[in-house]
Amino acid sequence: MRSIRRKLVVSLVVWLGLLWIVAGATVYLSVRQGLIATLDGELTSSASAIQARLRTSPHGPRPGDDSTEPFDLPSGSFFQAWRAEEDEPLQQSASLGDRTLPRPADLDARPTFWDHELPGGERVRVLGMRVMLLEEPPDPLGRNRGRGPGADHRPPRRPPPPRPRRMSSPVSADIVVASPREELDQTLALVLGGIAAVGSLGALIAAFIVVLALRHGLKPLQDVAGRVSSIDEKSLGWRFATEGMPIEMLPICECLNDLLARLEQSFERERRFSSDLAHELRTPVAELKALAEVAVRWPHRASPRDYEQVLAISERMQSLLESLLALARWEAGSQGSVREEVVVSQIVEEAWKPFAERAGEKRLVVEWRIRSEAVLTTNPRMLDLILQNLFSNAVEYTPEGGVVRIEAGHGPSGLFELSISNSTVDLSPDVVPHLFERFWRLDLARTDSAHIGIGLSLARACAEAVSLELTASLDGELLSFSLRATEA
Amino acid sequence: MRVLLVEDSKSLRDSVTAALQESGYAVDSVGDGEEGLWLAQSNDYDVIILDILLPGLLGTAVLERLRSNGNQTQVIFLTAKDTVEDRVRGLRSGADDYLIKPFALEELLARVQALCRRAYGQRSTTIRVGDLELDTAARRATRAEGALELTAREYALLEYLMVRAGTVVSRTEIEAHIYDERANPMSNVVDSAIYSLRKKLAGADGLAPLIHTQRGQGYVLEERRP
Repeated sequence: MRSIRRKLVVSLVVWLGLLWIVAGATVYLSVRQGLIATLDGELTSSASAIQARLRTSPHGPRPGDDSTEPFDLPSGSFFQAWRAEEDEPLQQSASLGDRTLPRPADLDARPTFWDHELPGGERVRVLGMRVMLLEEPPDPLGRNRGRGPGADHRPPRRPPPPRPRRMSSPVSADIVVASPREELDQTLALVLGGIAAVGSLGALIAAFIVVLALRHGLKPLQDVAGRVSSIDEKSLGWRFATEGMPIEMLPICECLNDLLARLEQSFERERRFSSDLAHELRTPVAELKALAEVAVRWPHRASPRDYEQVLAISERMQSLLESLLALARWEAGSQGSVREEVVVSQIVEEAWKPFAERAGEKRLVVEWRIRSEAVLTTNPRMLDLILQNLFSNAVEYTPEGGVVRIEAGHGPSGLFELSISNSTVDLSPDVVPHLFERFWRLDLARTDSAHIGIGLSLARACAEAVSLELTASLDGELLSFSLRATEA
Repeated sequence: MRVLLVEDSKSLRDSVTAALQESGYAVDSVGDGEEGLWLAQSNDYDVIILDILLPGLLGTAVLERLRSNGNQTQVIFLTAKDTVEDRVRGLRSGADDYLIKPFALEELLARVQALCRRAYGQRSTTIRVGDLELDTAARRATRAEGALELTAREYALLEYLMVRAGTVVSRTEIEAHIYDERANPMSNVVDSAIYSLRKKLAGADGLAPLIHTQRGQGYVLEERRP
């Protein structure tokens, strides 16, 4: 199962780890570069000193000379110098012993640095460069003899007397200076170890913080999830408190609150329907049972009138069952597929006929406003059923001497509209939304057995089945049911 | 015993009224909550059978008003509202019993009888005064081990006098508990019924009288030793 928290933890830990590695690598490389630059600087200084010394003393100690180091080199450093085009070293550190330093062929005036491993495994940092020296001309007195390659290595025991100034010729020499890397490598290893240790510890702390922060940050989401999972049909009246809710959660909680409100209304309707259905069925069953029991136990109390009552009760139950079945079928949309063109005025007048007498008895004023040419493509049987329910409702609930207004035609949009309005007394606007609920009746006691309260539900289900919209509205004391086509 | 039935279904009202009358109860029945409340406040009933969904005034509202006025009459709800919440709400509103439709008439009669017993502090279905015994469950009276043949009205009168044995019962009280509102209060039905009952209690052997007249007060049923 996917988990937002797990995904966030993994992503954040991975990215923080990568960031940590990059930071550690940057620190390490910076330190390494700084240390190497320092070492290279020392090598460069040494090379400059060697170059200066070679200029003044080109015949310093020779290879194998065990005299003291001629130059002031850092401890452990050594060098080797060659005259260009010669393989025999011109000078070298006494500490170099029999070892030789690498001498690349492409040395030039710019210092070149590289790492090298001496025989024996010692790692050194090496600088190589080609320098220009001033070669003294051969001494006509032969004092300078043997100072060249293959000459005596020993320096003169006494300084020679000042000689007259002579012209010198430039000569190039290769200098290679090396310094051991051991100390630098140890320092870098320490730095690397420190970075790794701090990095590991930091990564663990970061992961812990990430987990804590996510747990804290996702707590509202967990609270909402926990609350949602605990909601059942008995707690649909509960709502999420939006005050203090994180802004990211607000739309979700508002949507959930709306959903809960709709669910609560729906459950309330279903509860009411079940209760009403139970009442509608239990009461006639109780009537039948009591009638039968009295007749069986006290036969002298039974009369033919009881059978008439049994018949009336049975017919009422049959009507209820048929209406419920019809409602279920029409709500499922299995009816209304057969459509044909009907003249509205004709079908309305036909539907009104069964109610005309009752309207006359109640002295109702019936106003007809139907355009004779109005034609509608629909299922005539279902339209008749809708109209009969609406007319029955209007005639039954309009007070004595009241008004029933029937209007039909095509509206400004070109779609069919039919409206049946009737005057009412003391009807509250609050009841209008309940008019289409199954078994809803203004009279809670349902004493009026002629109306079981599903006529308007049935009418609306039929209207929807034939693409008509049935709505109710109350304007003052005029209750109107409007039937509109939802398609041309 | 006198019972008030408030039920909006006329068919059911007629059937239950017939069953109660056949069982010896004096019954007043109406189909409207407001009328039921008026009758309950105007008369002294032993038991009120009340539907909940009533026109005019809901049964629960009728009961609440009765209880708030100090009326302690035993009330049983007879309703199609069958959920646990409905039953709990009904009993908590002050009802003594609750019966769901559809019901068996026998059960309703048994419950009404139980409520009548409770109204007079009786636990047993058998009441004894001297050698007179009344089995309210079997609706049978015997004296000196001999069965008494009583009409429904006589049985109701005897039952009422026996549950109040030892206390003086006025003629008005007898009228209120034995006769329904259709009886003529100016008639001497009570005196006639007392006379008839005394005669049957004495029997052919001329047993000692158990119903005594308290002049100017009413009647008392008790065994008086000579």
